[in-house]
Amino acid sequence: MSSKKKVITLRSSDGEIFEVEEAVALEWLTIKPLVESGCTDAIPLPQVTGNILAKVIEYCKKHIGASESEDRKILYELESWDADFIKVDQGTLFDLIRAADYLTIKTLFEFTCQTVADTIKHKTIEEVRHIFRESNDFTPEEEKEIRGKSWWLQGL
Amino acid sequence: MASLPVDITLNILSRLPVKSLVRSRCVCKSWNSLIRSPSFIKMHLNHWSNFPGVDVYNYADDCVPQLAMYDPEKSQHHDLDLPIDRPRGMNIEVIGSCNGVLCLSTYNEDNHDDSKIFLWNPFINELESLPESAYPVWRSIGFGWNDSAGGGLGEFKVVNINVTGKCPDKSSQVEVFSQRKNSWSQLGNTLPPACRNHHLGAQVYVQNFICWCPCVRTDPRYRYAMKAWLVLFDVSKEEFHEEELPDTMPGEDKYIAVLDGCLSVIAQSRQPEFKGYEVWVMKEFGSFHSWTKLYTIATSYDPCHRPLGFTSSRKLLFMRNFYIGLRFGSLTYLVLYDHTRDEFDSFSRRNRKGSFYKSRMVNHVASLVSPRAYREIPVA
Repeated sequence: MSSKKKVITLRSSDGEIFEVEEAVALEWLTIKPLVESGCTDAIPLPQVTGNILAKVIEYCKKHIGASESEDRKILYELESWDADFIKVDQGTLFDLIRAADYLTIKTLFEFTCQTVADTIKHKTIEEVRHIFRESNDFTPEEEKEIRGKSWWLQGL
Repeated sequence: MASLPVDITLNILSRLPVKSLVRSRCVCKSWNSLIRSPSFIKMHLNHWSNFPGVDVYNYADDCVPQLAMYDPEKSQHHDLDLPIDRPRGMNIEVIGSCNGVLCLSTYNEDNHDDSKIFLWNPFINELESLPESAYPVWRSIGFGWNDSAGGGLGEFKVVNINVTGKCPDKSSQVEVFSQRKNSWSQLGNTLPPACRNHHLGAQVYVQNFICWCPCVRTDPRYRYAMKAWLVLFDVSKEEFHEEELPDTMPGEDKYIAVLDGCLSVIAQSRQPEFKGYEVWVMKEFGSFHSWTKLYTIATSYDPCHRPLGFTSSRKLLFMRNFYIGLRFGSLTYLVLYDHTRDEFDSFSRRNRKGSFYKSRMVNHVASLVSPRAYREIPVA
């Protein structure tokens, strides 16, 4: 085995070139077969822009090996690193989810989806509509009826 | 900024607690139908089944039956707004909880024919009163979930067991309610003969089986000498099985429970060398050799302790019963045993009016699963 770590080249949708260690790229199930086949050309990722790809690589580099650690200190540090990492605007967060989904990176996908869920848990209906770009297509009567059915939740 | 694909939106929504989801139905028409679809309801349940839920128990408040919910995260008790008429003298029994639905039975001590079985999801406040069964509802009832029914969407099943006749020719009448059929079907005399002389007691549901642990007195001279074994009802095949318990378990009363998804038996010991309870679990369901003793709890006789089961925070709930003289009868309240500290903590407010004598407690997960018969559930 060579002591030098193998490097994989990736090209974002806007033509930026990134280099990642093979071990990181193998966690991305979508490109794993390409990496394993020994591809030496830059792998094109037409659905991910350069700035998002940079964030994805940053996350995966930090997490490789660390997520499985049983050392409490490492896990605690990772948790606070994650909390800082995810302090991004709504648009970037959704882009990260789409990239994690497209590249099939399970840990990042779980983490970003859970972040959105935690954010909207206590938001008002209007705020949720704004976040998800959904518009209210109920008539006032229909909305009133659905809202009326949730009265018992007050106490729970 | 484009919106997210539907499957990702569903993934995010499945992580929301029921309370937020019910509100989120108002976002737009497509969310409303997504949140109501059976496949989403199942996805949401699968996600939340991995988290500890809440505990539901019954008690009597000045002879009126009440259901209460305990949230271990907030350490809060909260009476539930049960949509069932509860006249004085009526009893409500908590049979079990499965996938977010409670199975309750009501009965009147003076009139056994006046009994009913209800399925209720308290978080979406949907109640289904089961059609009348052929045999009375008062002896032994079991409640479970048949996962394979309806192309993987599953259904609830309730089994009602009666026994008639005199020893040694007693016969059993077993009937099963299917949520998909919305009716009872008769299984006949299928309860194993050894179980026909005794009440089966409380039930639990573990991995497709409704389980009971009946105890039978074996020595007329010593009232506490008991033989106990397991009676299992396979919810999909609708068959009974019997299983022995290890003979190293103490020979007195047994209580069935569930701990971390494993079948558990809390066995009482009244031997001179140890007075109290032993907590046993069957680590691998169906494997006799996996029965393991976890720990022991020393308890007194006065007040006497009766275990009700493990809370969702893994503590063991006991009912304490003080006998305070003929004029006053007994005083009951609930205590929680914390194994990590080997201590009892108070669970309910000490209340002379409130009686916990008939209390049962079940772990409950908040879900969107409807208890309604399938005629009323729209197909997505």
